[in-house]
Amino acid sequence: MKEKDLLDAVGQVGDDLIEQSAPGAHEQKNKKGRKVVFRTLLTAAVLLIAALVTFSLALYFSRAPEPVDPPANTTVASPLTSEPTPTKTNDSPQKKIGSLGNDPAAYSMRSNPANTVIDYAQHEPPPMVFPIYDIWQGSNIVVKVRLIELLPGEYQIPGMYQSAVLRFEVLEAMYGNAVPDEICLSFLFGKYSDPFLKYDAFYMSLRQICPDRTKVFRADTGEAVLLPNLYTVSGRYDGGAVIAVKDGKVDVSLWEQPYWYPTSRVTGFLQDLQLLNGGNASDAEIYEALMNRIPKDNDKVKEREHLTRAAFSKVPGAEDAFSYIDSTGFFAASVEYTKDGEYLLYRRMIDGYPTTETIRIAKEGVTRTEAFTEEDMKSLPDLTQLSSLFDGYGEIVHYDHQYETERRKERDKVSCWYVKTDKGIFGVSKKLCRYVEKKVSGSYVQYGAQIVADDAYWYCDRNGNCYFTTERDVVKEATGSADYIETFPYDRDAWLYE
Amino acid sequence: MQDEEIIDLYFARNEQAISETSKKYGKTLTGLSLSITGNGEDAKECVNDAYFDAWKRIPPVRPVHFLAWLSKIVRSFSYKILEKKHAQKRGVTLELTEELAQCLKCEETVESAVDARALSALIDRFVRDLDDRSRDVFMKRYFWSCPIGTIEKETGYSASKIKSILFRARKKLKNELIKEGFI
Repeated sequence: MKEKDLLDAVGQVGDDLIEQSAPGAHEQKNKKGRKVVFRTLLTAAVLLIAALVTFSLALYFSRAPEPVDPPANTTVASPLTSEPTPTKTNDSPQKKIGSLGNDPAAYSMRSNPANTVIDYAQHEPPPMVFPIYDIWQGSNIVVKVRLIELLPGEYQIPGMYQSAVLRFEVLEAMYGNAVPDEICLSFLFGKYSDPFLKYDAFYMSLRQICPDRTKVFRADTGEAVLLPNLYTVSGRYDGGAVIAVKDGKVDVSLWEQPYWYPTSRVTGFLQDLQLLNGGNASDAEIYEALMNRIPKDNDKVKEREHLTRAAFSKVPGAEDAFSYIDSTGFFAASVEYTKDGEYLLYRRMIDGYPTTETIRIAKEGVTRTEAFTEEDMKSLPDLTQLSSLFDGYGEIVHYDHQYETERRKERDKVSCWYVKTDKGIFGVSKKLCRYVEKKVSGSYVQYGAQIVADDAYWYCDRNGNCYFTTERDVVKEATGSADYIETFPYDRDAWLYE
Repeated sequence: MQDEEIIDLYFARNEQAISETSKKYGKTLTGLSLSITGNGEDAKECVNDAYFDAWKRIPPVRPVHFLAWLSKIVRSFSYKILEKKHAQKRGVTLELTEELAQCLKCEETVESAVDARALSALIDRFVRDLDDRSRDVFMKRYFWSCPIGTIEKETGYSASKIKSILFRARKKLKNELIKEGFI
């Protein structure tokens, strides 16, 4: 064993231990402690001085006055008594808080339920967490829909997470251009999407994953599927911008699924809904509230988009780049951060797959990688066929770390991308190969998946010649690109965080 | 901003997540990386890579202890960058390595492949069994890679007391390692 093994092992101790000992945590505690000590000493000093003053005054005034002959033509005032003077002690903040607690008026304000009821008729509809547009996610729609079916299995969407897919009929397009009659929704909670079946209709704010169609992979079979009009939910939370309706009324029970991520049971969102007509809003009221909200939100995000682009507009070549981005296909956008500052990064997407065509707009200038031409588009490698080559590549025992007993075999994540380099155009399909087990530690049991990230790659050139390898460097050398090849350092024996 | 709110920003793919993370934990994480790499530029790079890694992993990951989760990433990147550059161990890293080497000094040491998981479990148990004071000092030194001077400021203990605490902890750790058959 080497020293490094020990250092590595120390790096894997429980998170609670790490946070307790974080630099600064102690300092803050000490500062707090020092503050408390200082305050206590100050209070004691003030009290002591006050007591001394009071005592001195009392002593002074309690003494019998020297008999003084009054001047002529004056009257003598009645003698001062030695009644105790109120001191700071009686005025201490603690006392004040205590006395407020006994204040009948304060008590009645807190306890009277009448005071907690707000008359919403006197107010504008409250703001709702229902974002209409997101600059970074392409086109958006707000719709009222009806569920047609839950598609079987779970799906891996390139560059995104594994999710369930639900098919909806669009009853009404409330916002957005060219809204289709049917849409597919990617929903994060995979197999836990059954609750959607209970409701009559939904209002949704959605962003489209790709302009028309997206290729996804069924996680259980590895089958590649082409989904038309695939959307995902906009908003602060996955699933946040969905309002369920049942029997003509809003039904917030959709958000009370115990197995969804806690933040998806959006507290703020639920409160918003409950505020609306005391949580008893009708379908029509929700519709009206949303229609009032859409223009406001739309203006806000347009302004944001304008400001974000404006910040980079003076960069030489930026205007041309924006013009190209707006007129050419679909670009996924993001803001990236480096030690030298932030920059905008746009990446060309084709059929939902990321490509190596990027446009980087930073303060110092615009950098582009080689564009995919019309000619390139006609002869792209078939990524669907490529990914299907993984079918025979074995299955993995997946230990679900939340439900330890629920071990299951599962096909692992597959992702694909288009690569254009000096060596030509390639399709690269990657599969993450192994996941293993739980960690048991000391007196407590911590379930944490140890992910061993062995990658396997298939890559094909435009002539249809395909190759398989598990070596990243081989792919890099063959295609001349490191794009989208996992760069996270991996190690068969390493613990990967959680 | 609370951790939960920052993580929500990641889930919402809101780029403010990075700046909020940096605002809250940037100094701590950079300090950690700097202690390991001994180089300001490397430290910044590691921390920025860690932010990017967090951006890629959340969602679906939802860290419960956000700082600990980030610090593990930074620590991992920092050691990797040391290896990658074949850099000589610098500063605190060299000190730490030498100190930990004392735990491994044993006349009958046999070089063998270490069961990393079992060793991690042992260390976790060992740290939990330490008294509060020793645990705090041990973690500051060997996880957070703090120099003795920093621990002195943070805890208010004298340097000699800290060294003494660490010495006793290492001795105890060595006994544990022998007992469990690691050395």
